Amino acid sequence: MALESPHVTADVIEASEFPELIQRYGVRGVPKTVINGTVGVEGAVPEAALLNRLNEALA
Amino acid sequence: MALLQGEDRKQIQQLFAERLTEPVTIHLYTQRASPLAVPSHECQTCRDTGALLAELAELSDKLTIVTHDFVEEAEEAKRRGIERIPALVFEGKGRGTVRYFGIPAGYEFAVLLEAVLDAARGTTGLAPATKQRIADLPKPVHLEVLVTPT
Repeated sequence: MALESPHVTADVIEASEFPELIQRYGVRGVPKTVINGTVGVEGAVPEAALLNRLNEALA
Repeated sequence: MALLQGEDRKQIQQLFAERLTEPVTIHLYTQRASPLAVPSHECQTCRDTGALLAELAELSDKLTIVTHDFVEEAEEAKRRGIERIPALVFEGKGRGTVRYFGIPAGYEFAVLLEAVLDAARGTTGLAPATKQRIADLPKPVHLEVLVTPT
């Protein structure tokens, strides 16, 4: 998504190096995707599902 | 000791020769090695990350690494929204921003290679509906994917 749109920033974060993020986002399993710091999805997320969560985060 | 060994080097070199056809720059935000570093503030993986990227850049003349000091270039780091190191910012043909935080080693090494090739290509196989939606967002979107190397 970040390749296609100038409005998107995509970060991959090696969580064990930044334990404060594990705590902040309540990570229990990886991968975990967090959208705009609020909406979280655990596990691999299919494209359509991610788009739905993204819409939710923007609503 | 080299982090990338003989056979891996050869395979990556071949992969890059085939698919890394456009220039890509990785901006690495890191910590300068200092004898005065405070242990609790030391970046544990910065040195290895720098060494890994330097070895990777040897495998293609299309790949450039630009190293930034997180402290000395604090203002630029802040402008780029970088709050932790090591941080990699991939610069190529992509329209948005792609970054990696931490050392891209172990299973995550494949993520590093993909990010480099994606940046060179700049296109994706996303569905038309997805492309349309993200081209027309009411506000910026920040996706953070938390992973572990094992």
